[in-house]
Amino acid sequence: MATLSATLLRTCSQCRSLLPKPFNSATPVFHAFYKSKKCFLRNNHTLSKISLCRLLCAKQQLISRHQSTSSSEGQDVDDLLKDFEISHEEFRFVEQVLPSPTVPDLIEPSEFPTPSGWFPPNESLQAQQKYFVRRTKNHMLPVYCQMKNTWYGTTHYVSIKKIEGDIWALEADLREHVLKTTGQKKVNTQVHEVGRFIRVRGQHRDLIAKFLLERGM
Amino acid sequence: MASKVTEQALNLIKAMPRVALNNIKPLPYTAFKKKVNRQGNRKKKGRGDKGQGARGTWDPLGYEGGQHPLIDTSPRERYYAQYAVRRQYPPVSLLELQRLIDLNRVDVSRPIDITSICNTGLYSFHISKNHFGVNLTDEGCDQFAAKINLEVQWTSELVIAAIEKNGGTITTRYYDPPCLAALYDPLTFFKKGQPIPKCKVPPQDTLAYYSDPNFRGYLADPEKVLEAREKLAQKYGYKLPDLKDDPVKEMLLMRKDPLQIFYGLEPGWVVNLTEKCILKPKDEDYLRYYHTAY
Repeated sequence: MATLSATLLRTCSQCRSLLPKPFNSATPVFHAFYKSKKCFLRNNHTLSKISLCRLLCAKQQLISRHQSTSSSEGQDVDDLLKDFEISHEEFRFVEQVLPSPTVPDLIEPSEFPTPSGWFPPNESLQAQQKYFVRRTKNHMLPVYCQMKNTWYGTTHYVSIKKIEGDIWALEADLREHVLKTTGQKKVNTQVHEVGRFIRVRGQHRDLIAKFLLERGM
Repeated sequence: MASKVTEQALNLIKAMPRVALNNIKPLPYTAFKKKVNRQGNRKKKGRGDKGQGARGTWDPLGYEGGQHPLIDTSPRERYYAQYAVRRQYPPVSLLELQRLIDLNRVDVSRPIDITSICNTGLYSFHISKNHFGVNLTDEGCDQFAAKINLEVQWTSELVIAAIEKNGGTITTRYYDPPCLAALYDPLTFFKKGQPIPKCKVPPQDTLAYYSDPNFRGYLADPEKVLEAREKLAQKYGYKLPDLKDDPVKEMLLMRKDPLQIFYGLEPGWVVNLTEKCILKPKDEDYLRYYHTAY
């Protein structure tokens, strides 16, 4: 061990003179490594050995620096903690700003429709029908407009989702209602039994929504 | 058990050299066939005889034979000039706002601002697309029937009249993009543990709008705003409800400081969500930064 430490020390003393110089200047490093070839533990990896010496020196410097400044650092931490005032009262303003994770419950209004024209579902009317269209989580009807642009033109669809019960009865009623109100000769519809939705071709969103509201959906 | 044929095939593959860059080539008929000039070199190659067509020296597009062209004579209407730099305000109509109030998505007992509209999850905007907040449009102004204290980023005169007719108050307020990020999603902002930002002064081209009492700008003189309220009531012919005897007068007259972005929270404070407390720094330089406007 004594010999090992002696060799290390010798290399270190030679490398220390190189420390302030930047890493890119390769020539002086190589110079040093040829001179101090004897004292390396492994002659094969000479370059890595030099970097090891550099690291050791740097570590020693860090430790010495830390010991000199450790007393002043403790004071800094204390200052930081004293600099703040902690208040629990004003956290209610934060709670007001945070969003609610769920959709809030409805306050039951006295008059219908509401100023924005919203109706609640009517359970007595629903019971008369063979089918049922469930409202979305936002208390709205699941009636959506779709538009498809292709090279042969634009087609409009209205899709009705969340259908429960007899889907074919709803399709027949819809077909009849659209034909009667618009005066068209035919209506194209698509019934998806597994996906539980119906697609009607044409721009009949408001018409269909009104039809569903009349049935208490 | 592999058959004889497959064994033979496998042995053949084993004997063959590996696929490498030196021995691969494209599949047959994958490349385009080279076009053969059947006419030879002497003919006109389908371009007709002589002239601009044969030589490829047509007039440039829009050239009218020396006459002053239409593209120069007609005036330019640059609808999309400076589009990438312009400030955008995605719209919310009064009807949509009324629907939010009807379905209890927005609390009317507290002042409504951009945070309460975004927290419903039914309205969104992108700060990266130069969106600077809500533009409240006048669709459904006749149906609107709510008494609210509203703060939006852009409005028109008709909307202001519709809200003040029902006894409410409205202000237009500018927020800079870092503040909008905090207002758009307060939860993720507080999780970062950063101090609440202070709001900057609006840029020069919008300063006139936000200090205009006719648009209820937040930098306008409050006395002039009161005058403008009465003038607007006369213009549209409605009776302005008296604010003095109002039971919710305090709520209706609640306003943020021009530097403040959340009600009750000052800029520079840090929110600790885990311990449910607020840290208020006391350093003088720190406070001076967060309490001066520029």
